[in-house]
Amino acid sequence: MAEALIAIRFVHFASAMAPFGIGAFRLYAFAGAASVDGPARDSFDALLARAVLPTALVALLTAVAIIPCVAAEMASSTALAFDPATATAVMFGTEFGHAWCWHVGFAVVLVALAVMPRQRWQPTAATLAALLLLASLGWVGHAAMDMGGGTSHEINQMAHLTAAGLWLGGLAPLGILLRRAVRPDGAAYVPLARVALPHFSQIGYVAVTLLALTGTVNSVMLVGSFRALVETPYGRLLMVKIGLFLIMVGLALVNRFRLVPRLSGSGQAIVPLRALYRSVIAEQALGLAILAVVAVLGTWPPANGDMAM
Amino acid sequence: MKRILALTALLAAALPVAQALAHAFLDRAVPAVGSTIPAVPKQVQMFFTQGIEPSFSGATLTGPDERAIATGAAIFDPQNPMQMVLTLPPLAPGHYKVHWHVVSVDTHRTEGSFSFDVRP
Repeated sequence: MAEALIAIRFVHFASAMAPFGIGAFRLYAFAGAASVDGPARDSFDALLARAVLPTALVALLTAVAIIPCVAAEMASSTALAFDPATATAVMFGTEFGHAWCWHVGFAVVLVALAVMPRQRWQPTAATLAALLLLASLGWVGHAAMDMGGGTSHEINQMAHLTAAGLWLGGLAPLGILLRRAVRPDGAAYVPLARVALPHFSQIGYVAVTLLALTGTVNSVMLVGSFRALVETPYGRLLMVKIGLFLIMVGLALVNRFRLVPRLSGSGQAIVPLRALYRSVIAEQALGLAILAVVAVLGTWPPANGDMAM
Repeated sequence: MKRILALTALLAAALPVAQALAHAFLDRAVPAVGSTIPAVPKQVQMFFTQGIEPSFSGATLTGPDERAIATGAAIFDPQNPMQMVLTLPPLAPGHYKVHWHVVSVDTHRTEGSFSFDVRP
């Protein structure tokens, strides 16, 4: 059951980040750039709009699938995973359950917004629902303890998740756009990429700064000391996560200061675009690796818990 | 990059702030863990390192010869979610062991045991 929980958590985190990253990208990537209006932009935007429904559905299904895993862990019995009384006790008798009712509710709202006929306000509303879906993950787990940090720890975690969704989630639509732009028949998408990349960079600065700050606060609260970071299993796995994050930041800085400036020059855009596309694919892989680490970390006792034993 | 890492490490090392303990562990108990008490206790109070879920937490008692002893159901205080109380029947002198299991508010289950001696 523990392995199933880790696998479902991984898929859930990825699918909860994607709709927000995609939705936000639709709002900021071409903001104020009327020059790129046209069939290519419309076709790309329609593709992103269509991507919200499958990711939201996966988020909803995995959110529901986590319930029997948590029930089995709480009841300490795999046999009780699908026991209705246990599930009821989990959902309506525990703090996790109260938060998870909201979380599942946000997923339902997002799915509903994704299937309804297109409206002018629909992208904004779907992005807002996706934000609530993602941020409400901060109400459960290690951030939801009621001592030593309480609400401030939850707010910190919500900010961390939001920043992660902006960056990791935003890499998905950016990758799709770059893939279209580097295709032999993708010339119409090159101007779109030229506009979207600096916008993504600006959002990236904010997101990376916020991730580093909130991640530091989180580490201090859950690990507590440099010794625990180095000597406990939780601390070591957290260092793996920090290492992956730093490699991602390194790649992003190379993109920003080496490759993006070459796009604005008069030379061929296709060469730096190809390099950018490869780099974004690598960043996506690193991002997924981070989510895999997080899926495991949340099920381990944090370092200072180890010390207390 | 290195600066961020160094800063993270520095902050983690230099700030022993009010840390939150994830996963609930027994902080202390009355009668105290491992203690010998002259008076027969009417209850066992257990204090944990974080909030626990009443629906999924409880405790049992075994007496001399590891025989199970019937107790009242565990009692929880809504005002203090980190506490659990087990009411006891009249105990004869001897060695007793409390086996507790709790689910913390971060959904994780932990369990443990401790003993005390009643010697009037």
